[in-house]
Formats: sequence, structure tokens, C-alpha cells
Amino acid sequence: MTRPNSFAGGGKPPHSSGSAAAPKGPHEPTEAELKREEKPGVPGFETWAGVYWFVFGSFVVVVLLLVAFSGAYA
Amino acid sequence: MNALDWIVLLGTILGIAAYGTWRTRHTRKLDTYLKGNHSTKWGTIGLSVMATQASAITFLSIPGQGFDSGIGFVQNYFGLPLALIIVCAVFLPIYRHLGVYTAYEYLGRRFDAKTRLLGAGLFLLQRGLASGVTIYAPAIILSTVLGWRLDLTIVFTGITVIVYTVTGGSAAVNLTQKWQMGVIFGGMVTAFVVLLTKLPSELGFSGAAHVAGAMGKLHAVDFSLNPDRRYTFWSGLLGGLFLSLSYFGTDQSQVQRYIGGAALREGRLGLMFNALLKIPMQFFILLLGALVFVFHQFEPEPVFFNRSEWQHHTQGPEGAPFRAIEARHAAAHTERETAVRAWMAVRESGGPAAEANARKAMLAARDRMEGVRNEAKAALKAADPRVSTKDSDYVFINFIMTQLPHGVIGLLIAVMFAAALGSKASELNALGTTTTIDLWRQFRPLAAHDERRNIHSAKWFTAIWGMFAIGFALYASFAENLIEAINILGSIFYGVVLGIFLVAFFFARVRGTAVFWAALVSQTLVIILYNVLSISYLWYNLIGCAACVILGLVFQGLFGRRSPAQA
Repeated sequence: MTRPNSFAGGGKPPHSSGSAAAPKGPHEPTEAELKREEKPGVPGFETWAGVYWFVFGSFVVVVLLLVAFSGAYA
Repeated sequence: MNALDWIVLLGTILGIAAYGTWRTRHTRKLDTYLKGNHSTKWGTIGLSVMATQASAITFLSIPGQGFDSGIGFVQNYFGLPLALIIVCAVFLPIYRHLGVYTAYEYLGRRFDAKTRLLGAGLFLLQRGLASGVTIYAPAIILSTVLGWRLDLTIVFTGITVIVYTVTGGSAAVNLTQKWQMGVIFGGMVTAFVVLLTKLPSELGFSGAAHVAGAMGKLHAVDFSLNPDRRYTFWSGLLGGLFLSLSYFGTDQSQVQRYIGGAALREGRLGLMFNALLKIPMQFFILLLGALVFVFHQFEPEPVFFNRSEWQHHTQGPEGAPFRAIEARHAAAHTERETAVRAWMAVRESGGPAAEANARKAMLAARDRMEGVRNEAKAALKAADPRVSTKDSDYVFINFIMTQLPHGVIGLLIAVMFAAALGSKASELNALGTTTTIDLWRQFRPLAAHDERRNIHSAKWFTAIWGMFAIGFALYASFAENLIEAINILGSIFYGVVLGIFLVAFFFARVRGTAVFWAALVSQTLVIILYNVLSISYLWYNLIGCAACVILGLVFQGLFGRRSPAQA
């Protein structure tokens, strides 16, 4: 999921902006850093895709709970 | 409010502001000033994103919404988790990889200077005008209820936020928002617990939920496809998805909160934290309002929740008809309470037919009560056509002031101010940053390499936007209609801005000129449709976005064929 260069905007190098090539922060990530950042570092999750599926699943559960709540007290 | 409330309020609000100012007073690096501390972890980012979205109006109006219309408003947030997943997967890695300070800086790199200026200009126009409203809207409610001077409330709020935002920039905003959210969570949970203790002892939470449900306040999800319904699962999911995608992905006040931090992971986890918590949090606030409604089935409520407005009329020379309405309201309340208690008794021990009859009687008593309240609003309007008869914003603050113990009142007023300061700080921070990076540095390119001068400019622009917001809020009291116009303005701009970004991310062959004209034409189309159609404003996010993407592709086809070099 972390492949910024595959998107349309990711191709230009960070300092290619002509007008305001200003002092940039020290956080220009290297390829190694980007790869390391691909790991979410959350126990039980190896990839970001897993985290996103978990969040999506939680959303579905919350909606179902809301439906059940409405049904129980309507 | 007594001395204890004042100590809690001022101690909390000024303490957090002073702490933020003191801790970040030595910020000398532009990167830290604009993006926040590099060691910032996901928890701080997550709370900062949440504090930016949750303004004082969230905590004043949403319980009122729960009281008035029930908890169905929660559906408006259904698109949010999905939007945050997309922002995490697509938007955030690109922003971080390019090391941009603003979302619009990315447009300059992907397209050209004019598209960057268009994006930044739309943001500055919309947020700049709205900046006065975010101070004015809570100030008018708090000053009315607490009897404070409106102008002093506006100036106090504005100056406090300007001091720490200008001093420490993003680092101060992140730090203070973390503590402000702590106050907000603590205050709202305290209010919830106190409210439960105030309900009749035989009721309990389950009984209160049954009363609210029987009164039609707990219908959370509506799968209806009827476009006339205001809040449905579908409008919340689709319209809310595009609104949230635009807000979290392209609005600098949010982008600035998550592009900093120790690593990409921290920003992502901060956003996922919001994706998980936002709907339960909004549900909780709405439920609080629904339970205040239940509380008032057993304890008399004011005829009109803006008490000072009502008292102004009852105590005036023409007060007799208003006092007569009050008497009818008191009688209607007694009748409704009797009907509710009868329904509760039958629900426990009677059969289905008896329960249905008792419920019918209870709903009829509720409608008669509502009729008296409408009569009161009509009388107010007849006495003064300028008066606003929407009193739901005053429901929760009225409960706080009349039912909570001293000390907790101070804490809850601190919640409102913490929310106002948190959202305002992000807004000023973003306005100052965008003005510096996307405008000032565009026109002063030689100054771009002078870090000290950049910080100096960012501080000045932040302060100027803050003073503008205070001035606008002071003026807003003379132009109530302007507030509504600005809110509408915001909702019709978001979709097109999102369209520009989606083209940038997903359609590599579309160039600057095509998307620039597509955005202008789409914006015009949305404004025309807004004047012609009467659909929910959420849909304009989808329409504006879709029009911009489709026209971008069409124009690229036309321009590209005519002159590839220019396109």
C-alpha cells in the first residue's frame, strides 16, 4: 500500500519546485526508510492493508451495533 | 458560575495555553514551526486531528440535535472511516514523500503554479471567511447564557489562541490540543455520569433508552433511498465519504496535523485512531442529547431554551401573552409526564394492546407539548422578527448551567472553550502556513532560503489572520445572514478541490491547464446547481468532485490534441 511513486504526483523529486525550493525539513525519507515504514508496527498486523481491513471491519460492526441498538429500543 | 467554576475554567484554559506557549517558545526551525515536533507520536497526532474537527459548536449543537431530532445525525459520519483509509493509503505517503508543507504545494509540483494558487486561494477564501464564524458562533451562545459581554468573549478567545499559535506554531497547536482533548473527554464523561444520576431512580439507563426510543429519538440508521430524507445511511456513506475525503485529504488545517510526526507510521496510526473513534464519539454526544430529552420528561424544561431571550419578553411591558404560554407549557409538561409514567408502568406489566394505547397517549402528549413550544416560538417571532427561534443549540448549555454541580459547570464551560481554541488554533496555523508557503514565497522567491525570515513571516501571517478572525467575529453580530452564507460557501467548494487532488493522484496524463479550467467550470456548475436544486448539501461534494474529474479528462483530450506542449 505504501508505493507513493506509483501515483501520478509521486514522480517528481522533492526539491523540483522551482519557485519555492525552500529549506526543507530533515525528513526526506530514503528507500530503506520507506520500506521500514511500510510495517505498521502494531501487534498482530504485518501490513497496512491488514490495519485498513481491521478499521473497515470495525466500521461495519459499529453500523450493525447501531442498527441493533435502534431495534432494541425503538 | 461561582468562584470554583471560575478557578476550574480559567485554570484549565489559561493553564493549557500558557503551557503550550512556554514549552514551544524556542521553536527556531521552520520545519518544526510548520509541521510540528519531529518526535510527535501517533496519539498526539490522532488527538490533534480530532481536536481540529471538533469545534465548540460540536459540543453545543450536537447534543441539541440529539434532543431535537434524535441520534440519526450519526449517519453523517459514516463516510469518514472509509475516507481516512484512502487518505492513509494514498494522500499521506505522497505528502510525506515530497516533504511538502501544504497540500497546495503538492499541486504546484504535480501541475503548475496557477493550479497551486487556485487550490490555495479556494482554501484561504473559504477558511479565512469561516475563521470569524468559528469564534463568533460559540461566543454568542456562551455570552448569552452566561451573561458575559459578547465582544469581550470574542477578544478573550481570539487573543488566547493567537498567543500560543504564533509563539510555537504547529508544535504548540499539537501540544495544546492533546491536553484540550483530555479536558473535553473528561468533561463530557462527567456530564454523562451526572445526567444518569439525575434520571428517576426507577428508570436506569435501559429504561431511559426505552423512553427515548419510544419517543423516536434512537433511530440511528435509516436505509431509505428517499432523497428527501435528511440523514440516511446512503447520504452519510456517499456524501460523507466525499466530504471527509476532501476535508481530511485537502484541507490544510487537517493536512498540517498529520504530515509531521516522527514517521509516516505515526500519521497513519493517528488517522486510524480517528477512523475507529469518530462514530462512537459522535454517537455518545448525540445520545447525551437524547438522554437530556428523557430527563426533561420528568423535570420541567424551559418553554424556550434561550432563556435570556425568553425572559426579555416575559419581563417586558408586553409580557402577558408570554406568561400565558408559560402556564400552558407547565400544564402540558404535567400531562406528558403522567402519560410517560403510565406508559412505563404498562410496558412492565400490561399486554401489547395496553402498551400500544399508552404509547399512543404518550406521543399525543408529546405533540401537544411541542405545539406549545411552537406557539412560544411564533410569539417570539411576532414580537421581534429578527430573533432566531432555533433554540436547540442552547439545550445542553442550559442543562449544564441548571443541573450540574459547581466545579463541573466550570469544567464543562472549559470543554466549550477548549474545543473552540483547539479548532481555531489549527485554522490559524493553516492559514498562516498557506499564506507564507503558497503566496508569500511565490512572490518573494529569494527569501525562501532564509529560514529565520520564513518563520518571521509565518508568525506575522498567523497573527494577521487571527486579528482578521476577531474583527470579523465582532462584525458578524451585525450580519447574521453572512454566517449561513459562509457555511454554504464551504460546502460547495470542497468537492471541486477534492476533484483537483484526485486528478493529480490518479490521472497522470492530465496536466495543469486542463485541470485548472475543469475546476473553474465545475465550480461554476456547482454554484448554478446549488441555486436550482434543493438537495442535501452533502451531495455537492460528490457532484463537484465528479464534474472536475470528468471535465479534467475531457479538457485534457481537447487541449492535448490541439497543443500538447501547452497542455
